[in-house]
Amino acid sequence: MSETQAGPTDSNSDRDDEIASARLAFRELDKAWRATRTYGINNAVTKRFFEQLQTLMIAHLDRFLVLAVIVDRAQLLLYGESVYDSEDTLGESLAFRLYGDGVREVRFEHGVSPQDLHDFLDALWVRDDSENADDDVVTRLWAKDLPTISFVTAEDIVRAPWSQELVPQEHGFFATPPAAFGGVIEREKQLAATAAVATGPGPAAAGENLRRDGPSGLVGFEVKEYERAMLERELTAENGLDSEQFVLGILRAILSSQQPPDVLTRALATLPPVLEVLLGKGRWPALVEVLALLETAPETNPGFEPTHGMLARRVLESLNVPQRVALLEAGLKAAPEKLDGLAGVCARLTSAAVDPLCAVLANLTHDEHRAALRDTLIRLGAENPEPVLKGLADERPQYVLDLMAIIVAWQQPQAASVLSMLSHHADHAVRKEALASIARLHPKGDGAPLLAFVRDSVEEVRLHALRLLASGRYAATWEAWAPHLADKEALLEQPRGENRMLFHALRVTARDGAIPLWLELIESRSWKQRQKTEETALLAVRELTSLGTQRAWQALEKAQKIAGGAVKKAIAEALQARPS
Amino acid sequence: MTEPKPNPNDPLLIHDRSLTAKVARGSEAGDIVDQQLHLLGTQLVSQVNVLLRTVRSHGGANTALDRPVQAILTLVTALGHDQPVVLRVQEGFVFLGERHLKTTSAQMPIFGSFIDALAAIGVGGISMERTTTDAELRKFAELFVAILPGPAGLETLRARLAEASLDNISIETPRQTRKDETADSGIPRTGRSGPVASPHGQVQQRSRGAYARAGIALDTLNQNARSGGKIHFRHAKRAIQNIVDLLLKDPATVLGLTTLRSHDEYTQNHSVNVALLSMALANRVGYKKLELADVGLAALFHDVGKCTIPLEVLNKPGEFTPDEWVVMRTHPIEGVLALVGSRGLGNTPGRMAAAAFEHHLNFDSSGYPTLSTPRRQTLASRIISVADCYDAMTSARVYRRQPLAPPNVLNYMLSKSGTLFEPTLLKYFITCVGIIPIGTLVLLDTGELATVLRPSEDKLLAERPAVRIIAAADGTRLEPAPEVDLRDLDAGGAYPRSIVRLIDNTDYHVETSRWVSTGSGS
Repeated sequence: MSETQAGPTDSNSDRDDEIASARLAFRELDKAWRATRTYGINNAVTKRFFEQLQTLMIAHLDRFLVLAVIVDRAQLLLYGESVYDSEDTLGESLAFRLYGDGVREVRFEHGVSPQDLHDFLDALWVRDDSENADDDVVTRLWAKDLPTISFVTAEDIVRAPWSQELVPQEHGFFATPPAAFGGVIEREKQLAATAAVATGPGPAAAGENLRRDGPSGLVGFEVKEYERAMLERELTAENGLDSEQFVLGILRAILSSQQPPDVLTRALATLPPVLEVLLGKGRWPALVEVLALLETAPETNPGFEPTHGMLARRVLESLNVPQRVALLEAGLKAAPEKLDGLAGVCARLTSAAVDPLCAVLANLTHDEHRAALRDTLIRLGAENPEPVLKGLADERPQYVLDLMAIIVAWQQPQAASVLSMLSHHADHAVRKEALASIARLHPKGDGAPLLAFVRDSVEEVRLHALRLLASGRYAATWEAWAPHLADKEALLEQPRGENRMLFHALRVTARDGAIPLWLELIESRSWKQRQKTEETALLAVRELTSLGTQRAWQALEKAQKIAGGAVKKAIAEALQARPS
Repeated sequence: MTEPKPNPNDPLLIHDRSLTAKVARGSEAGDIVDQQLHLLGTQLVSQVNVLLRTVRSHGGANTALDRPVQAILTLVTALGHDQPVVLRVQEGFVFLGERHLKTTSAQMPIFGSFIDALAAIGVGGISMERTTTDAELRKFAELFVAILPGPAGLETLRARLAEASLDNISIETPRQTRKDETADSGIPRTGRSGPVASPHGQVQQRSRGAYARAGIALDTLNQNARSGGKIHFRHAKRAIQNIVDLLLKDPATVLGLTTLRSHDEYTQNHSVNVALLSMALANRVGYKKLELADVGLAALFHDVGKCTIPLEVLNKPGEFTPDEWVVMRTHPIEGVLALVGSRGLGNTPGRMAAAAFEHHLNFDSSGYPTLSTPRRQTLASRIISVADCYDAMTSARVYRRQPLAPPNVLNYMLSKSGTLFEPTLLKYFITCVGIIPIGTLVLLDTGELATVLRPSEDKLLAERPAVRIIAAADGTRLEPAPEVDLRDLDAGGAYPRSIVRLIDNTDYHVETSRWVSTGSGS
């Protein structure tokens, strides 16, 4: 067993064993790395590879204590022999990942844990090759602080001529030191002999009171337990610091305290990207604080000039531009449950944001998120309703339902005609809700918006529309009805009960206008659907009778001459019962 | 005359134009270098590789050489603004100057070919002056490819270059590596923070490297910030991470570096010193390894706001006028604005923003910037304030201010305990730099003159630090200057040497860092 990877081994055979063992360990390391990248760390396959890796690595380190390899492009070398050489492309090579960022050696030590191995691979996996990146494999590995895995970089071991750049000062205040210090020593000896004895703590006392067996100069400088504990608490608090919140605090301090105009201008210029970060992360309370500061700073900071006030307003208004409003969606998805402050953000949006807000609303699924945006659009949309109304043409049912809720909340009866267009929407829930919305917005008057639903493919929707029309609160001309009743065959196919409701609604809304239809139904002949034709004709007779106008009676009298059988009989009974 | 139409597939021309545009806009060379260094370095490796391969197959007169030669000359002109451009191969890695060139898998075949070409004849690097000519490059390539592989290649090539009087191109011997610390030495480095074979000397050498790298990273960052470029931390992070490792191994040696006083690089030295002192103090306070790196990075960039101050004010000889002070006092605010402006809210480390903003605020909330609501410094900022003050007061800036001897600075700071500085942190700081601080010039009872190297590890013997004796009792300078631990007893159980007086080195204009950091007064 060797103390180190490169140390002398007992025999060539030991060295060969070590190399063979290292090859096995790195083969498993490579497998685990690939599995982690492909399947993720929690995958069963990955876990199995990790177990195998751990077994082999532990076995190697139990025997040889250390596994230290040199990184050479795409291979890892032990005693100059390759123990890892990726068969895939260079980019897939674990060794090249290390080499590319300048890692020259890697060393695994006895006691390596699965977590260490996982963290090691994790540091290799995340990669940002851009020159501007703050981290690379080296800085990430260091930050992992792995107790049993260490590395050496190429820069570490090169004997660079740094010392030439760190030469002591030879000119300026400090000159080149004298060739001899006799004068210095003599003068200081004299000063030492005549100097007053300093007292108290500190270097002066330490220097002037130096006694070979006197008390230590550090007496009085011991840190007490309570002082230590206080700093520990502060350190814990500092480690828990929310960086963004902290930096925002500084920006707030600058904007509320500083007066130099150019400082304020530049401080304000940092804020638009700040808004974007806060929006995108859903940090609503922090965002509200920034917005509130922009609103109040022009009043509270005497340094604010009119131009600063204008800049502050512009920043506030920039909240409404489409790309910022669009970030709301990212923010809501980033922190779905954290809605504190969202209302404050929404309250600062203006009608200019309606269009992009609609686009955000269309993509939201969380009920509370949608409710928040609905409320905002109810407030803002009345001023700029066009984007909301246009949105009704969207195919997504939930979005259209939300828009309807917004429109209903506006309480604008004229919106009923726009909602009637939803009779063509593919989703019946939308059509049903549209009908209900029309009824709420437009509880009486022109029944035309409801007519669009009387031929709906879903019975529930049709019947609802008919019930509304039959309520007596609406009127509709025959001309409005006619397009919906053009298909007489369809009428014959419909259940009798529904036709009864239809004719009832028709009578209530169109009155005499519907007489020609009923006459036509009474007079129609069909050998194929004789019974249905007769049933329909009987219903028509009944409606004409119920209508009871002069024109209705005249129509019955006319029909009596043409009709036959049960219909003729029914007409006769109706005419007989006609009030005098 | 019309400009030739650019070929979008020609990356070199794109970079060339980009550089020209930058130069035309008056960007500083540092900005150009930093933003495009990696890209241009990679291009240079690629073009040198093309040059050597083309000469090998077509000879030195072929027109196929025109393109790589012109490309190399353009790149060398852009990169070598004040020093030669050196491409080095060290331990199988390619460096542009002192900077490792990261490699992607797509670039590796080119890098590999370049590495192999140099390694075959034992050349460690190729150095090209800005004034290199077309003819020199062609001649160099011809001579290079004519060398037969083997250990004698380097010297043969060197002789032929001398014969050909190629003044602007030279070759380097491969640099030595610290293999005593590496896996191929038999004494592998034990990694993160374990001991090394011969700790003191190695830590000292590595510390100096890390110190210099931190300074370079800081310099680059400052140039970037000044020219409105992106502020990024990777190189500084690497340097700070190195320093943390070294600090945890041998704090005294790392702290010894803070005695370096190079007035030419005051801002750079000062910031690196503040980083070292802050990390050392934070270590005493109980910061963990990763947190130490955070504090170090924050301390390194605590003065980042000075990048917005006009250079004529920043580098002004003599005292500032009141108006100039007003400008100088904006730098904490400018620091935060520069960080947030360049990196955005989400990528600005809290500790760094705090350090930039709060390092001139005091423990009692006095100081600047003046705020409408009193602000308490974060712990990290209080630490950095202590380090900042100590280093600033012990430093000499050209023409500006006389430095104070370290003990005098400590005394001043102690007099401000509870007002400017947090009392507990000051106590920790004294245990850190020593009651007789590193770099203090002292008179011993033997009449010898010494400088303090390391605080005593025994707090009951705090007045007995390790010192280096720089002059014998008769005043003769000792070279080399021996290191002595004043706690050591003689055979009779007595202390053979004790400090009898702390000397204000500024009275004699004596810089002590030369003995602290190198052991040699020369």
